[in-house]
Amino acid sequence: MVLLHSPLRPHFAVRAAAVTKVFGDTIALWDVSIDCGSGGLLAVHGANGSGKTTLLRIVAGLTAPTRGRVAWTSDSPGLRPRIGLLGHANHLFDELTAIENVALAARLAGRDETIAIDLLGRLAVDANAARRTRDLSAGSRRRVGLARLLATDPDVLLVDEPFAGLDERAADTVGRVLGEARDAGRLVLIATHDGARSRLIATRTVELRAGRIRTTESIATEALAT
Amino acid sequence: MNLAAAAIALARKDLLVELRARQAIASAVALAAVALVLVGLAGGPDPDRLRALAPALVWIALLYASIAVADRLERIDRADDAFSGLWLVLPDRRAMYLGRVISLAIFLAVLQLTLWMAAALLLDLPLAIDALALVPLAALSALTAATATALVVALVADAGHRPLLLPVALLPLLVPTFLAGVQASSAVLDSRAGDAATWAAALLIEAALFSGLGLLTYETAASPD
Amino acid sequence: MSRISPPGWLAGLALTVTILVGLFAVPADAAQGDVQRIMYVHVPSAWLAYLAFFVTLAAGLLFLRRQDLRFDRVAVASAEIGLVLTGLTIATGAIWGKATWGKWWDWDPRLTTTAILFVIYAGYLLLRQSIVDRRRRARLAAVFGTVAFLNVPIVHFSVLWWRGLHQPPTVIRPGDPTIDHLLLAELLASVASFTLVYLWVLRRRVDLEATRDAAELALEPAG
Repeated sequence: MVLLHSPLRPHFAVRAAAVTKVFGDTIALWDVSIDCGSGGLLAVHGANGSGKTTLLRIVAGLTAPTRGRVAWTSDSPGLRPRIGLLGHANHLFDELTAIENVALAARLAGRDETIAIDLLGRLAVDANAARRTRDLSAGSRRRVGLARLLATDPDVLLVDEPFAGLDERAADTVGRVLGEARDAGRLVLIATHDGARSRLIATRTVELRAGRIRTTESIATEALAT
Repeated sequence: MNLAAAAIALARKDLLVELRARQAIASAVALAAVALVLVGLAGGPDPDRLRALAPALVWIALLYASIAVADRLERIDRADDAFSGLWLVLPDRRAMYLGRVISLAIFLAVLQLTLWMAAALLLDLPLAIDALALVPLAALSALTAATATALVVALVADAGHRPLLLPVALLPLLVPTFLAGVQASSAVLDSRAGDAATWAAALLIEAALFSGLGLLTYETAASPD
Repeated sequence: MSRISPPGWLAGLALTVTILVGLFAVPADAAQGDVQRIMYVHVPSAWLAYLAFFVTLAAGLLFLRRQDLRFDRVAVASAEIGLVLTGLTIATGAIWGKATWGKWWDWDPRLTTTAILFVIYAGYLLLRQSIVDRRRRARLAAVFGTVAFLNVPIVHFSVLWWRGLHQPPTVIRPGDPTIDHLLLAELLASVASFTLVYLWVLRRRVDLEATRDAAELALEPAG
């Protein structure tokens, strides 16, 4: 727990207001508003092509919205959150081993590299720590990608399809780790088509269909499994 | 983590990846070898003429190889979108530019020295003790080429027609580097120390200009949004 | 849209008059004869080309500062005109060279710099073409335009040094203080009329780009 929990973590909140994104003549998002704060886990549900990935990249600041804006606020004025993304890709260097990938990310974030092996252990991929990530299965790569993300100690975790390609046990592990991140006071935003699994950890869900928000549902914190 | 330390960590990553995959060096060496042989054939079998052409030969081979190396290094970051991960985690993104300059400069310096050795064998260059000055010169000219290349590669990284666009955008900007590199190495081979120093100074000025521009504009150039 | 405005007529008229004066009214150069008259096209093209690329630089920097696409429209328009003028400079320079030195291309430092400039800015336009997103295109082009323009003095001095080491420049060039007053006046007049044409074409080209943007960015807020 010591890895994920930091009592001094500042509180952040994000508010995406009336975000629209147009690529050429394709509308990816239309007038989408969401908000979430530290300690919350917002799950964006939707089928492939519903705009989930675009929304995550806009929140991450990697894609500029065509209209609308994303605003961050903090309880310590002026402080910017450290944002981490596990997108469609895993953001790994194929020729580096799992441990090298995670350690490099930790180092660049100014953290102690030795946390790398612990993180791989938490995600149950430590047996593969010394193998190059290109030789790993899709499910293992996904978990190494999540370990890489956690190694950077982000205040905000944006995770695209955290359960895709994982077997039951691995998906449980990932769900547990994301729930712990939420409990440790991080802001977690996931995009998934696996609504059943994400409802176990989400504090709120929104459903995205063809770039628009259809429904929003809040989930009582007591009901959450950790 | 400060800028220099992050840049070195990223450069080390480039070198480590390349040592394992050996794609950049393999394609660069193959390209350089082909260029060397082709230009050699075009220059004719007259040994004196080939010797006079040697610096130009080495540099043309080097320029083409540098495109291959730069493109390959960039693709290391783009495959699996490692780029976005780095972009978000680095407090100072100029480290990505500096790191790429360092790794590119190391590759190009090694490549240039290899090319000089190949040229010495193929073209029967009389390499006197003075020719040792080619070693620091290779390092300096590689650094100059790397400062411009790292920036242009970032500019074209996700443009369409990248394989065509990279040489078209990069090579004209490298004309002064090419000119100074060829002239400086000619001067070294002819033992004209004064000329060599002048052209080395030109290389230094270019390196300063391009690295300054690179540090100022990299984040604007590479920003994914 | 195809109507030509009064400034357009004025620019066209000025250009026609200066060309006619340059061809028929001004006496021929004593040393070079009639071929020197090509100077009235060559020199203004070269000057305006450099001005055009400078405008591209300035507009690019303004875009980066203000994020206003109007500046980018000026940048691309000016780069295209600059490219045409650079081509004209190279072509007239080569013709002039053939007539005076007997060679189309003699690696004259200024012409060589201009030729390198031509390929650099051709690269600028190709870079623009291969970037789909409008704002991204403007941003990357501004960076490339800055690098390209600041590279110009370096290109020029390296070519100059390179020539210096081989053979000293031997050519008589316009700008020589001994140039005849009448010839100088005509040269300045042609620079002035080329400037008018440049401004007019720039204006039209910027308008065209604005129309394109309006179509392309129909869904975006104004800017």
